[in-house]
Amino acid sequence: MSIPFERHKLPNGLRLLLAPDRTVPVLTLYIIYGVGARAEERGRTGFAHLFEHMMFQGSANAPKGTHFQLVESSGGAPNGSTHPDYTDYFEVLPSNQLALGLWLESDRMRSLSITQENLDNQKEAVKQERRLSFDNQPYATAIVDHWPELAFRNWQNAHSLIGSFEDLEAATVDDVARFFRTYYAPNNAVLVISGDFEPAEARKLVEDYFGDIPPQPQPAPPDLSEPPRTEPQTAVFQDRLAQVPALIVAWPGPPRRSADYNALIMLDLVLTGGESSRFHQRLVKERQSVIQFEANLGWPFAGPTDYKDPGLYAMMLLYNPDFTGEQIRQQVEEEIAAIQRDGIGEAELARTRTYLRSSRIRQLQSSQNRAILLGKYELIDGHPEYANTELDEIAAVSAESIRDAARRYCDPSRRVMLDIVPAEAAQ
Amino acid sequence: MIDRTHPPKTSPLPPFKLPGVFETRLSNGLQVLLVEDRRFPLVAARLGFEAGSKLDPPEMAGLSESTGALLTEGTERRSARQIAEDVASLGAVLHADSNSDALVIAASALSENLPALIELMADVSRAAVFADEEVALRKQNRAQELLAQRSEAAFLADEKFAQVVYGPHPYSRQDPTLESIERLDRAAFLGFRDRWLVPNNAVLVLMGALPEPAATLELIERHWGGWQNVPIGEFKPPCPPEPRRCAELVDRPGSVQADIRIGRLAVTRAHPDYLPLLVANTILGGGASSRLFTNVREKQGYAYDVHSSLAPLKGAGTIAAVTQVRNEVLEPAIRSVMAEMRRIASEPVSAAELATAVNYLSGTFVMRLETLEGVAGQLVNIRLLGLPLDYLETYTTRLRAVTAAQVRDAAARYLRPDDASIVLVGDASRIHETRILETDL
Repeated sequence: MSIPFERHKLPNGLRLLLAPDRTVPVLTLYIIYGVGARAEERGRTGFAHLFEHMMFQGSANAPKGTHFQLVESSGGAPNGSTHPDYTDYFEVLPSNQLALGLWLESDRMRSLSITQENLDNQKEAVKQERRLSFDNQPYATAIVDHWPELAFRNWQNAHSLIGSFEDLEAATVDDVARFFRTYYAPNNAVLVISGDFEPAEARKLVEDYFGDIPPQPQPAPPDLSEPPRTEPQTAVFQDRLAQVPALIVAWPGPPRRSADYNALIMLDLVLTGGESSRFHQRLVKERQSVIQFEANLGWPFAGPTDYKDPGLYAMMLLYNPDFTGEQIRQQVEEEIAAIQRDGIGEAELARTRTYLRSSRIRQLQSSQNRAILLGKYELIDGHPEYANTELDEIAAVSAESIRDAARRYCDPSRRVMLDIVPAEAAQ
Repeated sequence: MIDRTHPPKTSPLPPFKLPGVFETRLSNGLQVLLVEDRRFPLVAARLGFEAGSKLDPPEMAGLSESTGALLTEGTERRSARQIAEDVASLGAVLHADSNSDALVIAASALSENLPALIELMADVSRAAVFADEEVALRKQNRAQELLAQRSEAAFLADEKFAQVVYGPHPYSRQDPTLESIERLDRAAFLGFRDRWLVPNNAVLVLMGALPEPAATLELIERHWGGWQNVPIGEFKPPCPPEPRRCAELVDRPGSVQADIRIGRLAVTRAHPDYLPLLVANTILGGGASSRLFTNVREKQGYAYDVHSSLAPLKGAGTIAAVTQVRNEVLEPAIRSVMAEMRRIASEPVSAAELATAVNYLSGTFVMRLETLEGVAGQLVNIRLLGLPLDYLETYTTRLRAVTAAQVRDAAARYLRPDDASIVLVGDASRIHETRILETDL
């Protein structure tokens, strides 16, 4: 299955992808900006996310409240999210509302309302979000605040992505205006429209709405380089809200789009993809030591589609308290060692390829997922065609390559580990 | 030149017709719905039973849910591992989930594998063995999962709210307890399966790139035709109590804020007040242009999340406002939420609010039809809830017919702070439910 799409670029640098599919009267308008939490400056942690909130505070012609009101009143669903390397916004809309979506997105790219009142209000909203979604949730503090510090040495990668209350307080209107000018320029964005629309008409509308927004100097990418890891590292976090212990284990991952990147995606599926995976069969079912697990190239803030090096192949396992974190670590590494030693068989490889392919087809049923995939690959790789070609490349990885990637990357001497234990049990 | 100063005018949404549904029934009573849709090389299947947690014996809460989970953990012909490997080889997903009303086996696969998928679904629906070691593992893991769930304030709040509002009705038990999990055993699972997972209590929906109906039916007949029907007993639960003002506190030491539910018994989907109340709920607290969002979050800054939700189960429903606030602003926040409830119950909503809510509900409804799983899930629900098959086709038309007066009247009947139950989850050393009850709200 492939996604047909057109690729254009406006004179001001805005990249445009059009992926029509006229079967259901729904479309997605997706805009992705090349800035995320890893571009934040010291003393301004959480700024990318705070800025994402500011994007919903109104613009010159669409005052505060208009965005949600208009999108929702036409039956759409707006949203935005902040990631380590990008920030994205989308509207899923009934297909008669394309112009509305373009009007809203272009108005805020052109003329966002950056005022002290909006900023103060959104600082409070972000603090409240932090209390609700992080400070009051088991595992969340460990994952969001402590894990990056353990996993990375370079501050750009290691700082809390949601940010501290102190840094949020310190953010000024000038900071917001500068960030907007630098990063929210047309030449730092990709616009994707997918679903039910007519491409020529959509292209004309995009040119009308976005064409005269001035470009800005291309921002320098942050220096994300990490010193190489030479020894394993372990920490324990006492979680006062958790009832069940959990272990995070990770290894530094390969460069994006390298042969080993494809091989590690397959390795991860063999280990953790679905109920036929080795972790499910061996750790959950046979040993009964692990209760639940999740893993990804780029976990916890990214997956293979938006993994960007430096990053980690990481996993989190909720485990049976009759075991220790150290025992779980051993069991995980035994499963990996089996692949490093014996590789994987043909039947298992064939099954994993089918799993990969069918999961992708299922995912691409929605216009939103098609838009997100195309937009990410244009922004991160400059090559949206990966959305149609990468499955063949990943599925072509041989059993030997998977074994070799496991040997190269899942190396105990470069392992990072965080054991999250319920605070009461530790006392 | 385009006019940037105003939102663009848009044409009306073109009408959307659902793909045709071919409907029939096997001689053993199994209802079958086939929907052809060739957009993707996939098929989605749902085999739904009216066999949700409401049918759990009171001391065995979680029986339906764990029966569903164990259906795919070994049959007379396949080990659990074999099922998992077959699922992956077919490019399939297969799981059985249970809610208050229904237990649904959900599957999808690459369409070329439809025959194998049907064979596999039939196997797990009819021939699960509930082997001792699988039962033991399920119980152990469910108990751990429950501990993890119970560490979350929202879970505790929903649990207590269901208990308060539904009282003796089995909808009050939406989740198992450690004790009820301990009581589950093979005999209970087999008993539940053989009593409720039977063809005359089931609906099968197949949707996607299907062969012609005769060929699909032949496949269904081959694997489910010999399935024996059994008489189904009547389900007569005790009534929920009359709504009354009360406040219940669930202690969660260390909580930095309070998780709040304010609500009461409301209506089912089949009730004439359902759509007007759904619109009222949307205007009050359904999304970012709702009154609760704009006032309690944006204007007053009391909460990050504040919304209301309507939960229409088959036999009864609830409506509730939901929010989480800092302990220091607990009382003003509750007062503010209640003021919004009173306002929508006493003054007609504006024409603009009504249009926004109706468009929102229609639009989100259309969006759920993008995926095969979305449509198949809606169809099986409609059948299990006993709603007419044209429910989907007529939904947006009926929604558009709702008037501001109907919205106010429905709100006046169900959004009543004076007999709403208030559930609070927070640190008991910092919150006092009696003070909430005594406060003039």
